Amino acid sequence: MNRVVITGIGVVSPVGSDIETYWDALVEGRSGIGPLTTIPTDRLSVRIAAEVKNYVPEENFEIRAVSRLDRFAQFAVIAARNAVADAGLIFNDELAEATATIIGTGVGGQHTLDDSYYRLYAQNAAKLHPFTIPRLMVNAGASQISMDLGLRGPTFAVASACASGTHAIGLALDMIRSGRAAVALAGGAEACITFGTLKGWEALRALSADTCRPFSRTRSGLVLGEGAAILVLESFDRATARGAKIYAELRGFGMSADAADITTPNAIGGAQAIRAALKDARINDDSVDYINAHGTGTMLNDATETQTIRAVFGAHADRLAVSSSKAVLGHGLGAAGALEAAATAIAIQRRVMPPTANFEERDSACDLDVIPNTARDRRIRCAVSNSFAFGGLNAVLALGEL
Amino acid sequence: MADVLEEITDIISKHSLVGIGELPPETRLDEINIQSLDLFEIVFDIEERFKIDVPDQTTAGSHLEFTTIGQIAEGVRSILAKSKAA
Repeated sequence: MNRVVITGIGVVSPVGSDIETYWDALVEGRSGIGPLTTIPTDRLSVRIAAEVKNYVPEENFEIRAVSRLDRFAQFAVIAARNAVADAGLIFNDELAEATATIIGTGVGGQHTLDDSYYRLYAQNAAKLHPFTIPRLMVNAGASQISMDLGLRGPTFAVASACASGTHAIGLALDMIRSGRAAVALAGGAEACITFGTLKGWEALRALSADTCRPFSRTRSGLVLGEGAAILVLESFDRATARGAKIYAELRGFGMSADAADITTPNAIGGAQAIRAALKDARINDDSVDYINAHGTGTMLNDATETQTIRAVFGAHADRLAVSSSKAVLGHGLGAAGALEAAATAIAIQRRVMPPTANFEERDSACDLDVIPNTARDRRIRCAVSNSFAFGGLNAVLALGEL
Repeated sequence: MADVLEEITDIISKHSLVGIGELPPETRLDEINIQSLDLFEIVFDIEERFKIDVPDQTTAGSHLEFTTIGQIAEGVRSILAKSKAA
């Protein structure tokens, strides 16, 4: 079985789209959350989000391509290009055939759907744009990446709401291990900050009206984000043979379903997924130094995740450190797990634990070391990245230093 | 409404990224890198701009011949004339 390493990272995020800006914001706890700018807010009660700022499609795509790609697929393609450049990969015919593209997305082309329905229902338009369907399909991100980069191996989308990106990376891990693919581009992309989607989230009463404060007693809900992150995965042997830079080893993957409630998280299901990831990675509980939490900033998630971590790690839960990147990134849904896996890999490489930003007050229900507001220079032998999705779908990655 | 040919040339220019001045009526779409997907968008833009229905190419009685810019303009004029007569 091949050992699998991460050799490239590409992101499009609310705090920047190159690795250095992205990482600096996470370490400094500079939040990408702010007032909504991309959609009208007069009929919204929640008027903040973590948007990808100053995004100009024409700077990244030729004008004809812009009308063919929904915002989420554009993010996916840009992150993939960045990841490939970061990995220093050049695709010849043979490698293009052996490269998998697996992209997690929660809902697909929401901007296309929202705009189209507005035309139909509000403007009584007779017809829709001819690319409505190819723009909105949930596999558009994966397909557009394969077309943009000429990748012809196994290519598909994965949907598990807020765990989509994590599931995609986990499946790619299995494909490299088994030799089914030589290289994989895996991650997630999402862009669903639309009027329609936000009204849906408002109705769920899960959104914060001010900001995202994971694990803080004063936390008030999640803040929607958007973006994309793609990791380049390949076998350790292949990476070392070509002299590639290696961020971290992707050691294991665990997944589970709560089979309980569609929105309420469950410590049993989450713990099962963490244990499965550690077992898959052959990591002892006590060599885990850092957990990148799902940490959405809702009352329920953060308290349940605390119980989950305590259930898995026992006494070691008080020795490891935990932080949530969502105070900085917002909740990128299908992209979130991939953005956070990227953060975890960089943390291992640079031996820095990024903090939980926006932290105000300790909560006895979240009594872990949550790295409040200030990053720590600290070696990370092994790390875990949690994603616990709506629908009770859990996906957990275990990463380690080489 | 501006001249039909001018409007069509404008739409084709937008999709081909070729300047209006370099698109005489006899320009063939296959000479200027217009692909099948572009055609869908061009038809859509024509329908929006002229507020007409362009029949599917498979439908009998289609008046749009898509080989040259001049032919498209001619087809659009014919659809416009029919809708006025109706």
